[in-house]
Amino acid sequence: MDMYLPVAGISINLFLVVTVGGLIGFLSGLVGVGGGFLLTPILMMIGVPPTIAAASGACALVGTSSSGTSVHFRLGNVDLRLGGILLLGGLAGAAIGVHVIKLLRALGSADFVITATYVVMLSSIGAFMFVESLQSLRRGMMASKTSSPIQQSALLKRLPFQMNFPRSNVRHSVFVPFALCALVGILAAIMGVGGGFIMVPMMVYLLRMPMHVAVGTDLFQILFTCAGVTLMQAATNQTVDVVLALLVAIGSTVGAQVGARMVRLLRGEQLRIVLASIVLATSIKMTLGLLIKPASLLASVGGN
Amino acid sequence: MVRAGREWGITMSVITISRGSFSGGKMLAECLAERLGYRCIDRDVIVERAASHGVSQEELRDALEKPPGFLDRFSHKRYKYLALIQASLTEEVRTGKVIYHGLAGHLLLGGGRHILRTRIIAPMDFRIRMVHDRLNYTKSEAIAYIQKMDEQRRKWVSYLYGVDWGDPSLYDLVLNLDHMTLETACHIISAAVRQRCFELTPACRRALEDLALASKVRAELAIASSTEGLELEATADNGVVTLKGKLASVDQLAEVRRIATEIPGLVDLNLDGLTPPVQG
Repeated sequence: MDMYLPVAGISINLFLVVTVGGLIGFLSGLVGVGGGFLLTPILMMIGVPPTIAAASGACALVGTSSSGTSVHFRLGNVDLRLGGILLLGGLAGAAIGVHVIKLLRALGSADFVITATYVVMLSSIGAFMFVESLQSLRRGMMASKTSSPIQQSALLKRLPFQMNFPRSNVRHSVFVPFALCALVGILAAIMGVGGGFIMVPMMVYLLRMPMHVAVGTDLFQILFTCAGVTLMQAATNQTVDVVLALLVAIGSTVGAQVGARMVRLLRGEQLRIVLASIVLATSIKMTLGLLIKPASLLASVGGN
Repeated sequence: MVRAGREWGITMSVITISRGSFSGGKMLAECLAERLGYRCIDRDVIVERAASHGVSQEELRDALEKPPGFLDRFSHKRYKYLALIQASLTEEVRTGKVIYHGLAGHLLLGGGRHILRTRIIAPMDFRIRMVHDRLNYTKSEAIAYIQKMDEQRRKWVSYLYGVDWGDPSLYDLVLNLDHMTLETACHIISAAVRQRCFELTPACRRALEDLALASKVRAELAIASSTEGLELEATADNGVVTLKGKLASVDQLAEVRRIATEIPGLVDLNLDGLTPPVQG
């Protein structure tokens, strides 16, 4: 059943979009890694223009992260003080990212930059996940998975505006979480990702936060940063397709629930290598898309 | 004459015996038990205890013996069974003065100054004779059987613990029986266990109790329906249990806390290392 998406300006099969969302949600629920970085490129592959895919992906994340945030909040996993600073950084980064997209659209190269950024990011994430999965498989199911702690840089302790974050039981300069999240805000605007796959390891290893507080606080900032990105993209670039985002969010939410339930039956760790392979295959497909001459030269022009 | 450990004025520890099948491990364990006055436990004792959780003994034995097949690698069953087996073994040995000559004792119990991890390597002729006596196999059948069993064991250890079964660094004492009788090996091991370096000090006793507590928490979480499928790492220090690993949903955090805090002996619980699914 085809449906016309007025903002994207294309007709697309309704079930295909829901299925894409469902599949990504399922994989992320099963493996425990957010699938935001996979959503935008797969939307692009099924014909959604990159700028619309990225902005609508961020919009869909508002929907999918809201229920998770409320659960984390209820369990006390959100460090509001740190989350507030992250949010300010995220929104500042998002504002920069939205204006970068506006500038690139004016130059006519927004789609190319989004695709090229994705190629770099997916290749890096895919390669990292693949190697990590292989190492995990070799380590043994019952072996200790404890990794040696990374030494915290002395530079971080010397930065000004040090502040206590009692919920996370850490003390840091406000610049560190602000700068980290500003970077993620830029990514959210350009790529339509929440950045949990970058932020959570940073918060655990660099900021020394407990795992579940890191995940809860990150989700809190994702919800509001992506809401901010959605508003800014809609107002500045008119690239948010709410219908597309809604369909993806529905599929993704259902898929994530099914994936999380399947974890009881299936070992997600074994399937992480499958997800890594999908990420790598997607990056290869996108690279070929950038390099191979299109069937119609007119199709490669514009994209705004 | 049985000269029990207490009579000799020595403290009590735990001895594990690793070996290839039909290498005389049981005979060595019995010899040590007689010399030291220790209790001898084998795989069947552990399996029986673990089966009290409602799991079939046959499946538990398979989990302890056979390397996982392709489909097993995608299922949590093996983890669950081994968590139960580990909890049963650590509970059995927590008071010390025990010789475990079942499979994978050195891996299930880990190391420590209170655990003497031994490995014996028996000559092929000895093993062939043992197979012939017990199973009535011909020489070639016995060799094939021994090789198959050794290969299974190697794969089991490699897949589940990521280590090489024959790596001597996994043991405190490796004895080659090529030019040594089982009695001599028994003498050497009993002499080693009398050294102060393997005594069960109060700190070591605490370490054994902590290991039993951590294993119990891990096993209870593995069998509870709301946390089934979680593969967690559990450690304990003076009754404070730390859990690490990935959760399938954030709601499981409360479930893990509820189940773990009901276990007797738990002083406190550290869940900072549990990771809910990362979104975005």
